[in-house]
Amino acid sequence: MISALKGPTNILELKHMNKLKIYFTGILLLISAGVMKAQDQVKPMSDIPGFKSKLEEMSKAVLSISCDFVQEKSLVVLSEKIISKGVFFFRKENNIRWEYIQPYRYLIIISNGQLYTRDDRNQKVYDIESNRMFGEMNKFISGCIQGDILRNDVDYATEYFENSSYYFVKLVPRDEKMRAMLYEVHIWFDKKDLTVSALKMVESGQDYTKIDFINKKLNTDIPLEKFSFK
Amino acid sequence: MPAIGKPDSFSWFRGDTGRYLFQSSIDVFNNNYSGLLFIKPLGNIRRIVFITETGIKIFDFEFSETGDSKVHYCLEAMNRKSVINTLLKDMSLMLYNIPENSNVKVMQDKGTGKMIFRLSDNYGKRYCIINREIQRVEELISTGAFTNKLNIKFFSTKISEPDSVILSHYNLKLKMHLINLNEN
Repeated sequence: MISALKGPTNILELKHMNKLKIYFTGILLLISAGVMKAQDQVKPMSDIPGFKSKLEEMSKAVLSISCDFVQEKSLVVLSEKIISKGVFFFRKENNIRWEYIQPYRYLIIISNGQLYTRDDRNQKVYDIESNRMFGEMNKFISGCIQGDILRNDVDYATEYFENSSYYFVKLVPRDEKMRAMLYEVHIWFDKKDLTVSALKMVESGQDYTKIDFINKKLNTDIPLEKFSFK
Repeated sequence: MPAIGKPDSFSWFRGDTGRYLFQSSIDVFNNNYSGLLFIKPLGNIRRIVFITETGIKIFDFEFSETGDSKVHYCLEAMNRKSVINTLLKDMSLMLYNIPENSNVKVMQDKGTGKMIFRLSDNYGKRYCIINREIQRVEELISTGAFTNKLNIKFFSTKISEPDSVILSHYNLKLKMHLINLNEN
């Protein structure tokens, strides 16, 4: 996804983005965006290599994540917020389930190279592998969950911060076209277990989407049925 | 017969109402977008913002009762002039129903007793069917030379807000289905 948005060919693809692409972009942004739940003062990270090393260890050790999430869409100019809630499941390799429960049920599953969406009226399945961009997006998503995304210096300028409870990473897309849609991305990692606690996507107009991941459980047995398209 | 008054006199989205949040599905020329449609009256203007379930903004439009509209944002994938112009026109009619400077003829359906406004203005010719009991628009039919072009239906069991809205074109692949999430 990252490199897909860089080159002119892929910018052309973006111009013709259909719903599927938006879904992917949405997931990408949700996962790469940061929520600042604990917004106490941050300072520049003192040991960036140490942080990256710990993140890599976490990535290897975590086989599954399940949690609740609260998504807040802020329309700044209108002084309005739209809150959505749901549950999130991840199981290695590359099985992801986003399940919105409020304000209405909406399900996104990525598994076995396919993306599935369902609401109360429609369900759709898309083949990720047949499209290079989607393939890269999928790789990117799992990379975010496991922290690999921070290795990508080509597409994002990355800044590292921390406070007593969190590591805070700010990603700024280098591509101008990308920045028109996504101005900045913030990711908050819990210092206790290095999992992503919060994501925030800031748009160019200062509207933003932020997601808090709460009640996290690591390495519980999540049955594969959770990722089947039923 | 009540006075026609302002463009939003019979609208579900008048300036004195609160915000609305709809579960929405929009089919635009073979692409389907689903998500949340947010409508907020701000005095004499209305703002409509459409975002996906995952929070990605698809468009942000502003409408005034004089018929002017403004695009604050539109996702590049949808940002085609023909699409934008059609959406702006449709949504303006959904919000204001009876634009200023319309030639209006008030009629009554003999069978149902419903009040019908026959309009002719910059948007073309239309029929606007009013629910007399609650003084809100029930259906809006835009007509062409030979066939109907656009139909907007408002469904409600309440006086204050529509439960759902269906907007469909006869000659274009454009359809919107809005279901009220009852936040008000």
